Amino acid sequence: MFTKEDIKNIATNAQINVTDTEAQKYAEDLDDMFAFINMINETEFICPEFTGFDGPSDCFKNDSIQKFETDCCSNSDNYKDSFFEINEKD
Amino acid sequence: MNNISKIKTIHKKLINKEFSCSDLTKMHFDSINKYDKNIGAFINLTKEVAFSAAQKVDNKIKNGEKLSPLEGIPFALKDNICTKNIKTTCCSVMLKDYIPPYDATCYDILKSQNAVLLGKTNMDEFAMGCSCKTSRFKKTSNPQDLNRVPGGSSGGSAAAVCANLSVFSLGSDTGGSIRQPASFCGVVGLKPTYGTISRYGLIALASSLDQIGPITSCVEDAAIVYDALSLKDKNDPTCFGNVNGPTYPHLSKNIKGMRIGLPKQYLEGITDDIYKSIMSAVDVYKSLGAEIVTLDMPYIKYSLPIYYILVCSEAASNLARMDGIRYGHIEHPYKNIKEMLVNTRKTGLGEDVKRRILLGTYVSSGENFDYYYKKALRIRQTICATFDEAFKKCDVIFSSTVPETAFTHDFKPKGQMQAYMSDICTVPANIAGLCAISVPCGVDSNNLPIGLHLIGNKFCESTILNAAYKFEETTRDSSFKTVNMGVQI
Repeated sequence: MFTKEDIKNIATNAQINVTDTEAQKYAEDLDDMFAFINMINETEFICPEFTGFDGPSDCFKNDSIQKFETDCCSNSDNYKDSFFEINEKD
Repeated sequence: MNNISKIKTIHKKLINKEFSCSDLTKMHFDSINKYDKNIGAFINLTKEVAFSAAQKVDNKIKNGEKLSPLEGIPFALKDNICTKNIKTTCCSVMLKDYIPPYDATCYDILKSQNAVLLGKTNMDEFAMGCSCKTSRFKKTSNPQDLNRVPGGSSGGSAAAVCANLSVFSLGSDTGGSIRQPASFCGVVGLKPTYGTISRYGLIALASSLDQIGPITSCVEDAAIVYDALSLKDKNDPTCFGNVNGPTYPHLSKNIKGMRIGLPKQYLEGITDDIYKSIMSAVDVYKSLGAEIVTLDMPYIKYSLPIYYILVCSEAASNLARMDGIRYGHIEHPYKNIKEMLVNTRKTGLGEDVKRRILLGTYVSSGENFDYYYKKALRIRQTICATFDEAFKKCDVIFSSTVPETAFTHDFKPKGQMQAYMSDICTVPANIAGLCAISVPCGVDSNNLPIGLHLIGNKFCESTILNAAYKFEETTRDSSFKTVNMGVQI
């Protein structure tokens, strides 16, 4: 349970000034949020921490659309050509 | 063909001289004058910039020069995307007078193509919110029903497209801020893969989750805008561009044999109307030859709690610079620097922003850093691995975009966490850096739009855009609810 004093201490660290009334409201809000957030403690996660996304090299061939038959624009060499080609088709 | 590309239609009409670009721009500003007083999509109009770009396009047409796809197309930008010499406020009192000295890369690209910037759109303060109600300056209403919110945080961008006040707009998506308002307003919203569109010049909320993307009235336009913007950028070291090449040529490909993953966890807690719409969409895909794969993704339920740990920690760090010295307004009078700093942040930042800064400061301080923040990073890694496994079994993952349709302006959530639940379906894609799109798939019993959410693997925008395009092509008349206002092209 967060108290008004807890919130005021956190607010001081965050360089935010809060009144008593505001501190009380934020304490209730954070209680509500942590009741939800603490579900992460239901399970132990023994794995490395996330350090960022892989570059595209691992994903370059992921686009499964390559597998499907094409109905239009299959001979387009670049974006602009295909855009204008479809324009003409319309 | 039921897909109606506004960009292609306008492009054709400009070339055929059915109207000039200056006329088109004037039509849009006239519509904004007429309708936006009730909608409130725009926070700032950029008439001078718009007509200057329009004039350049008219001159090119006059001289018989070829136009690029976005040349002369009117668009709007969320007000957290930096525009040189044009106010960029993040809809916060803190940045109410901030005029950036540089352009965001995405705007720079559009400017270089002579796309016509109509103005900046309303948003939740610093992109924290899901209703546009935390904007410090004005209220935005959903053009589908003015008593309801447009969603957020890119609510102004979605409302502008929905009301036909702008052909397309750009938003930013940290946990669903493009897709959720697109769903609420019945338009298309694309959250590209993390690192495909440059974030340079986007005022950061959470740098490891933020992504800029388009909001459009149809899938085809989303592909056109995405292709134009997904370029490698030396100013953003996390930006690789679209490594798989343009998506547009792949639209309308046959999806026979496409494997659609349906995780049971995504179908829990949604309304009956939304459940029915999603299952109808599944039937449409089956009729197009797609295969349905049931998925079990138990760790997905941790996405939202870790999202709030990560987003609040990163936001607390990113917004530390909003102190009146480095950025932001200064609250007068003050006796010393400390008083100035604290009072400036007190008046400059709104209630929700402060709440998230408090939470972020708490979970990243002292022993909480290990207990919450580092644990959240481990769970994030687990969720990324969960999606990697899922995409071995399927090509696209399905869900609803949001568990409920647009709520009324006076809706009062039961507790703070209920207010944040709107993002529950969209957040996992941000956690795992995946691409995702919201496309309209019908209406509920209140005649409010429902969004179908398609998640694709990293850098697989072609797959989800094509899947969304085929759905739109098959169902547009029944699934899209258009609004009779604004510029009708």
